[in-house]
Amino acid sequence: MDGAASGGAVDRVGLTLLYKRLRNICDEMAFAMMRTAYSPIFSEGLDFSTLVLDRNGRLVATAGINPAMLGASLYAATWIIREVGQENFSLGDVFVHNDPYRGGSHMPEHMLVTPVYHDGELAAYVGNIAHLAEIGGMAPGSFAATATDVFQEGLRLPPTKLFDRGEPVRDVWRIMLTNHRTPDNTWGDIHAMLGSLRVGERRLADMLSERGVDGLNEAFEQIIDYAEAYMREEIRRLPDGIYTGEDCMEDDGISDRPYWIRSRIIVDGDELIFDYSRSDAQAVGPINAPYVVTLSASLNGLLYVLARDVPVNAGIVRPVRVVAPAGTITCVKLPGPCVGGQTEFQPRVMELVVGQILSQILPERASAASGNTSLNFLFGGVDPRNGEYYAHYHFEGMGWGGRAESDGNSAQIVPHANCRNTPVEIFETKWPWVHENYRLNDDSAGAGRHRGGLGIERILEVAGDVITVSALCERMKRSPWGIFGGSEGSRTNLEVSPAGSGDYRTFQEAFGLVSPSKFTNIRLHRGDRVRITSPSGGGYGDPLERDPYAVARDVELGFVGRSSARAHYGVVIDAKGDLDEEATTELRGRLADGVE
Amino acid sequence: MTDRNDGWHVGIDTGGTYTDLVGVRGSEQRISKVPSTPPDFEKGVLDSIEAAGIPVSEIGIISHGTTVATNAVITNRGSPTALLTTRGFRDVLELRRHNRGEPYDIYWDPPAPLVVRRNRFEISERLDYAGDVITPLAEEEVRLAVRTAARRGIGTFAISFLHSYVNDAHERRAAEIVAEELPGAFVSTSGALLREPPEFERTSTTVVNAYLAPVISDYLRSLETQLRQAGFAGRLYVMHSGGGLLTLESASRFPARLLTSGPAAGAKAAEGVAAVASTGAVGSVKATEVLAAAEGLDEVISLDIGGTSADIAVVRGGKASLVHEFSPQFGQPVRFPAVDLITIGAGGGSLAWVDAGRLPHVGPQSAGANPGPAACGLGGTQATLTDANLIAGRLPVDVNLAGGVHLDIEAARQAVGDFASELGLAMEEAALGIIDITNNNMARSIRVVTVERGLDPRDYTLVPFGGAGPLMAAELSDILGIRQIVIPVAPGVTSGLGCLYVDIVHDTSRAHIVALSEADRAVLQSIFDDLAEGMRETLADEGVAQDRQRLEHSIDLRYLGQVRALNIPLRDGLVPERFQNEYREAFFNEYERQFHSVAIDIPVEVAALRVRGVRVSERPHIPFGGGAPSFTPRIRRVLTGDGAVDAKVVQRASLPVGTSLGGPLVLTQEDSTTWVPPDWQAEVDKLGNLMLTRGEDR
Amino acid sequence: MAWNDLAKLWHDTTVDYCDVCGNLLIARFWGFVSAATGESKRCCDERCERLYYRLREIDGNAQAVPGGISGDQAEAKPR
Repeated sequence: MDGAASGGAVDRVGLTLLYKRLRNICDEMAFAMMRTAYSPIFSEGLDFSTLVLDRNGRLVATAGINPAMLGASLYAATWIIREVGQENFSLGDVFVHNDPYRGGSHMPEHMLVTPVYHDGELAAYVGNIAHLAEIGGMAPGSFAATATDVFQEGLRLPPTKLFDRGEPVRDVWRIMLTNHRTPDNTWGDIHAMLGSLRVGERRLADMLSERGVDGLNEAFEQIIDYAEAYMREEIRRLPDGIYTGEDCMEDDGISDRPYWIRSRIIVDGDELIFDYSRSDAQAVGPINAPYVVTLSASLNGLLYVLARDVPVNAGIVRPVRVVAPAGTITCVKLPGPCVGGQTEFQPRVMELVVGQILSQILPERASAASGNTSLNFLFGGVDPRNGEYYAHYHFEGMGWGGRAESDGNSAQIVPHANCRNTPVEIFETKWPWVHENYRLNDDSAGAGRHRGGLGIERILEVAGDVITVSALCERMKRSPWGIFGGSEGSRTNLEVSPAGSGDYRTFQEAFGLVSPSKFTNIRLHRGDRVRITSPSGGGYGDPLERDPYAVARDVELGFVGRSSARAHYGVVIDAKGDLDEEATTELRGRLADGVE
Repeated sequence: MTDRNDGWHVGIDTGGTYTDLVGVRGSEQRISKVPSTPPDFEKGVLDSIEAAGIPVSEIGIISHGTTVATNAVITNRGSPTALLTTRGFRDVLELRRHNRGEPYDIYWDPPAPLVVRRNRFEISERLDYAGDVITPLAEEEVRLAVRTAARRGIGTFAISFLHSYVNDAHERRAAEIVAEELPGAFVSTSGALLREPPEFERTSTTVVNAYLAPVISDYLRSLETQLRQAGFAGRLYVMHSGGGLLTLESASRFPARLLTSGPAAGAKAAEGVAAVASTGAVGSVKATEVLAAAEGLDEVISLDIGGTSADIAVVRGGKASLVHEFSPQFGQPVRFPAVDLITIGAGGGSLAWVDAGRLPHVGPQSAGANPGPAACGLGGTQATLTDANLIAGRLPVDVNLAGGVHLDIEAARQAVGDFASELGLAMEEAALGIIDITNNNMARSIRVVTVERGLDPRDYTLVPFGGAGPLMAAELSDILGIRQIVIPVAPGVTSGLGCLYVDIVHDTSRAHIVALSEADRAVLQSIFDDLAEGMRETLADEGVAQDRQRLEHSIDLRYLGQVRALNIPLRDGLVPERFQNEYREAFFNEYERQFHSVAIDIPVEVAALRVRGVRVSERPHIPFGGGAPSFTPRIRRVLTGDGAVDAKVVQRASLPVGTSLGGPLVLTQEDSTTWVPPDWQAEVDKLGNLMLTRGEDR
Repeated sequence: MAWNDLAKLWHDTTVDYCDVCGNLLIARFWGFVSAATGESKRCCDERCERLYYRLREIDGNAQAVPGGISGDQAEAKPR
């Protein structure tokens, strides 16, 4: 009954079963990785994915922990295999790869892939992709916002053997550990990844002894075909046509100018083309996307809106074409830098697809712009408590955009990822900072029939002698947009206050930087404070149509200020804090007529 | 303390729909199943005792599993609560961990915090990561907050300050102030509940605890009062999520521990059924002896399938596996040990449907009790698992479901036929498909609680119960490679039985972070001694005699630099001379078992020490009542994956002890139906349990 | 219109891109000469060649595509 014989009734059922089993293998691989991790970015952040691939390296199943890695999951392994040559793989080999010019998303994300054999025959591959917190390069945390080429972003590895027939390739390990600033973490986290591969190998071995190599690969093919059919059916339901939209990256950290992403979606029967060819040429700084990042953004936008239950594998991309010409910001050419493409460009494009383009067809599934910056804040230094060097890659939650059915969520990670925060207690135990606060940023959300979610505010004080900080984020110059009459959300802010002063200025003002949101290697000293404010979401629909009681509730909870309630929603709250219905009706009437 | 032998020992499990009771006194036993009576669940409890015909005055011990806590959280009917936090951190509940349950669901709404924002008060105070004071506690601010909250009619307080897991002095002082300002207020401090980071999980736990406290203590007080008025003179215990018993006092202080009280009772039942079955012992047996004697049956998967959902748990080494955290909803964690349960939307009422890619699915949506399966004739038109089982011939057509509902096979055919034509299948194929898919959904969940923990389900015995458990068990076992199934005497009330199978259990722990190689034996010993002493006091406070007390020590270890730790059980509370080697080795063994890899050259670190206190109970069973010597089976046609077969239909109660029959068989009883496929053998053991084994040729 | 090898020396670690979609070319490419412009193109496979002509067709007949609103970015942007 677990079989996938061709055609017939039990076949359809068998397919569901087989896919569930594969998903389960991916989940187990993920679980092993989380439990054995060294960096909070693994164990707390869950910034990784696990993969099962067929014997040609095509993705069959993945634990969808981090959708941002979708494009790399679809292509990186295929390309490793093609470049190395399938005949050059052996039992016990493990390849590592982080090259954004070979299917990777950005360099911190390392892919490990290992072949699985059955009776001496190559049967499949298992792999994983995970964000290592430190991989060298010009700034601690390896997120160099002022890099002007990929060589400044850390150690780049083309497909490279980490294990050769079960034996560690020591020279490769030594090169990696020498070039990363926190080699102990690299050592531990890569071991967590290796353990996860072994879990996957063992579980696939069971399936192979049941079905054999050909049998299993035929079943894989059916699962991939099924995903394709599912996507085609969903696309067929959309009206044919060309739908366009555009948005921009506000700057690239090097010069003060926006970079425009221009997208059109062509719905053509049961196929769909994303065309980005009218976008700006690639930037000098690291906001460019490798092809797979643009692909991820496009596909994830589709999946969120159309097909969130489809098996995520090589089949979903068959009816979809993504045109992102090399040399544009949507497909960076060597040696352009691109570390921010994954975290900043991808959410921008995803929300362009969901909120601006597909909203023309499916307004009930659309949302306004979310904060949509990962708000990467990087730091490193020597911990005075133990004399050891540390480095960390920190990201922040923000407000999501208002949606057709409900307000945007507050304090949520960028929608294209699903990572967790690092709790304050873990943060302060691991690194020499003390938090003054960590809270919702009140009265900041874009107004709308459904308002945006709130961003957060975090104030940190340096508790080491010197900490070197860098940042790579967006939405400091341009606000998250509203849709269908909703207002803009609030912006990112990154500020600093010298020890004992209490005056906050942007890093740009304090240190004379080109960009307020993208900088590297600023040295802060004991007692200096950093204030991070993440953006809030845009509103969905006309704020004057929002339930006045919902506004009154927001005022009571402090999410919306009294004067904002009046100015944006036309809602009057009386001295006792209750809704004044009469005054509200009257004020809303005047606002609707354009008076006041 | 009242001895159990003086009176009836009664297990009562209150579920959302039914209240199950199993009572035992010597060789006498009674069972009953009555409707639950929300929101006044205590009425159902008294009803169940009356239905069982047990005089209340003759009851020695009541062990009670209840859904009251879960219900209060789900329906937002806890008590208005105030939260005191460190200044700057009142939004910790709303910030959560920033993630969502399903990565591709961007329409998810997080649960509303149980404490509304205006009732979250920030207090000036601050400790650093090591527990040293940066800012002293501003006592006046606490007083002001309490007065403000009191003016708003709030009498329940949760206190959760940063780093209190290292040092909870500020929390304790704040709690004193609350008591001074508002005598009689309920206060829950995070450090007293949970000595571990991080702040979100600890605060969430503390808030759930405070939020439930008045509801739970009111319920328990009312229940006790009503029982006393009815003449009850024994002791009343409540089941906690970790599968132990709490006194009413403890349950009222730690109500968050009751969140999966009911399902935990089911897991304990499976534990007990298997343990007792394996020894073949009759009468009550000391649990410890049972565990020691058990051979092969101490590895059990418990499966309770009801109308809308199935609860799955794992018994390892004779004990139900525990996890350290349970979330009623994603984003609302409660970090107390809970039986490692998975609840999935798979039950008799689960609906069959077809997705956009034309693949069939079953559940998690359910027809529930209303409209119910199509065959129930209450207006349901969509095919359900029950309809499929009926068509497959596995549910006798003449059976009456609870509530006196008669099954209508024509309605089932209509509904399954509609589903079949959407897929282009014959109706019978579709019915089998629904059963297969359900089994595989359950198999995946069983793998989550076994394989993901490094356990192989093939090494386990399945203990299925609830209305539909025995119906699905054999084919589910085929998928998982399970070879042995034990079906309890009365599957429908087995959760009630589980309440009889539990010990009183308390857990305590202390974070202690040090490299194992640098750990000081005397320090470890003194922490264990402290924890043990506190635990003995706790047990003594509950009137547990010295010879009934058992302490279980364990230590959390990890590789230096790792964030997560593994819990390693220890023989006893004595730290051996060569503890560094012994602990390291135990850690490597467990690590290898779970993660298939060990690096012996990385240093190991101690994260926390734990002591669990147990009051050891005796373990009764339901004596087997039936056994008419002869029977005349009827024959009916049953569909299987390999074609239709002729199965004997037999009343289970007519089978004498020792009977052995080969499948295909349909065994009927009042509260459940058992399906024995062709390759399976059924045997009635000495205790009346049904032991199914898979043929060797498979 | 044929498959071509993209053989590289082992010490050449540069990469190549598809002229149509931008994706990576590894080991081999599909070459064709545009019937419209006479340029020679290196691309992923035949699908990319078809995509090339399909896009030209759509752009040449934008008005004819049902429901089409080609070109004007600002017009499509919701307010």
